[in-house]
Amino acid sequence: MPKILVVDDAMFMRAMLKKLLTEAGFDIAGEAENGRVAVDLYQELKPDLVMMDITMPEMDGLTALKEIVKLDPAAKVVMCTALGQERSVMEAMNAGAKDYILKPFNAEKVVEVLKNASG
Amino acid sequence: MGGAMRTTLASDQDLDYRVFVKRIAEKTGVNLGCYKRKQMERRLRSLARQYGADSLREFYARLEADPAALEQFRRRMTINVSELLRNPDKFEELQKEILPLLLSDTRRLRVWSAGCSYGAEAYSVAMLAREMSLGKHRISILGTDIDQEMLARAREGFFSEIDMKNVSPTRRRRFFLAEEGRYRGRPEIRQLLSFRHHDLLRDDFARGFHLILCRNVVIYFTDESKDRLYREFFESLTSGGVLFIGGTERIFGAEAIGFEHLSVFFYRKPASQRVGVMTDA
Amino acid sequence: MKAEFINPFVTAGIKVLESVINARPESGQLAVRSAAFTTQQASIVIGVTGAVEGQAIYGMSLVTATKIAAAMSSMPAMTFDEMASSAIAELGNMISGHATTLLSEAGYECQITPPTLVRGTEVEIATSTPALVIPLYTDFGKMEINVALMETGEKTATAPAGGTEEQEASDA
Repeated sequence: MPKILVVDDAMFMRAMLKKLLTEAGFDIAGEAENGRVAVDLYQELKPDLVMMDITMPEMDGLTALKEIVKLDPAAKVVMCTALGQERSVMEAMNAGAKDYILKPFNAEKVVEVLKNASG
Repeated sequence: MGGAMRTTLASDQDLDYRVFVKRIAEKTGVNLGCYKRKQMERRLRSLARQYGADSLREFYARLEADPAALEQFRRRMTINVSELLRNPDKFEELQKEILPLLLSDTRRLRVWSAGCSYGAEAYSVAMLAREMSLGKHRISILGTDIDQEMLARAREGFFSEIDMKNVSPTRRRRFFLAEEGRYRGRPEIRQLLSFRHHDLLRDDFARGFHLILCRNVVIYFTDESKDRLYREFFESLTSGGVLFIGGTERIFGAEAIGFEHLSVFFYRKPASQRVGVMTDA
Repeated sequence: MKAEFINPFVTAGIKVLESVINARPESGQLAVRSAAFTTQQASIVIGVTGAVEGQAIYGMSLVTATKIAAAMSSMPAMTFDEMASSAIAELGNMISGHATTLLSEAGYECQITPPTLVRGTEVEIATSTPALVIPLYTDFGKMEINVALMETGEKTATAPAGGTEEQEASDA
C-alpha cells in the first residue's frame, strides 16, 4: 500500500487526513506541520506520495514542492487548499504537482485522487 | 455580489478547466487554451456529461483510460475537418438504397442530422435528396448541435476545398458557388436546411423524421446514454423511418428497441400496418 | 460597511458547516453590533486584508464548539482539547477562505490571516468598525458570524470604482 506523508499546519487537518487515509487502506509514512519539516521528512522517509497543504508558516507548500521535486523529479505530490488559490495551484501543477484537492475534503474524491496519483 | 447564494466557486470551476487543458496539452499536444474559453468550456463540459463525468477532472480520467476515445477526442478538438460525403460509399448506399425507399412512401422528406457540426452532413443529404427527388418532394433537413459556434458556421454554409474533396465537379457546379477558394451552397440546397441548438442529453426530441443521421457524437456516451438515445431516436422516426449511424458503432439491443437492421449502419423502424391514409407529420 | 459584505461569509458558513456536520444550517436575522462587544465562549477571529479590511469572527458556545469539533473529527463526543481547538480554528479558516474567494471574484481582492481562537466568558473584543452579525442555527447550537469590513480603496483591475453591485452569472 502506498505510504503517504501528510503535510498541514493544522493539527486537526493532519489528524483527519490520517484517519481518512488509513480507513481507505493507505499507510501513513509520517506527518509534517510546515514545508521545511516536509522536505526533511521526505528525504528521510521516502514516502510514495505527499499530501501538501499550501498555506503554512516557515515554508509554504509551493516552495516545499519545488524543493522536493528538485531532490526527486519522480516525487508524487498532491496539493491541498481551502481557498480559491487558483494561481498557487496552477503554479504547483506547473512545478510538478500531480494533482490537487480542495477543502473541505470529500473522502471519496481524496481517495480517488490519491489512487490515481500513486498508480 | 448582490446577495446571490452561489456556492460553487468560479475558481473551482476555473481550476477544473485549467488543469484539464494542461493535462490534455501534455497528453495529446493539443492546446485547447488557445480557443475562446467560454465556448470551449461549455463544449467540454457537455462532452464530459455525455461521458458520464460531472467534472473535467473525471472526464480526463475516463479519456486517459480509453485510448480510442482519447484519440477521437483529440481529432474532434483539432481543426474540425468534417468533409461532405464522409465515407462516400456509405452515402452512396444512402442514396441508392435508402432514399428511394423513403421517397417512395411519401411526398415529404424530413431529415435530422444530429450533431451536425458546421453542416457537412446536412448539406450532403441535401444534395443527395435533391438528386433523388427530382423536385417531387417537399424536403426539410434539420441540423442540430450543442456548439453555437459550429451552428453559426453551418448557417453561413461555407466549405473549404478540403471539406469538398468527395464532392464531384458536377455536384459542385450544380449545388455550390465557388467564392474565393471557398464553396457556398446554392439556394437550391440552402433553402432545405435549418440549424438549431439541441442537447441530445437534455432537450426534448422532435418527431416525425423519415431519416435521422447520428454519426459524430456517440463515442463519448455511456452505454446507458446511448441506449436512451437510440430509444428516443426510435420514437422520433416515422414508421418506416431510418436511422443512419456512424463508422465504428453498432446498436446493441437494436431488436429490443424495435429496430430492423437493414445493413451495417442503417436501422429501420418497421413500417406499421397502415389503416387508411398515412399522414405526413 | 456595505451590507453585502456579510453575504459571502453566510454563504460560505452554510456551505462549510453543511459539509462538515451533514446538516444544512438556517440563517437568522441580520443585526448590527458596535465595534466593541462581548464574545461568545469560543470565538475564532480571522483578519482580512486587501481591498476590504477588518475581521471575521465566528462565535459559539463551548458546548456548540465541542459538538461541531466532534462532528468534524467523526467522533461521538470529545472534550474541548487541543484537537478540538484546531478543528474549530480550521472551520474558521475554511469559511473565511471560501468567503474571501467569493469577495475576490466579486472584485474585492483580499486575503485572510491565520485564525486565532479566543476562549473564555466575558471577553470583550474590539473590531475596527461596527460589525454586522448573522446567526446560523444548527442542531448543535448557534454560530454567530460577525463581519466588520471596510473598503480600503485597493481595487483589482476587474472592479470598477465603487464596486460592482451585480455579478454576471458564471457560465458553469
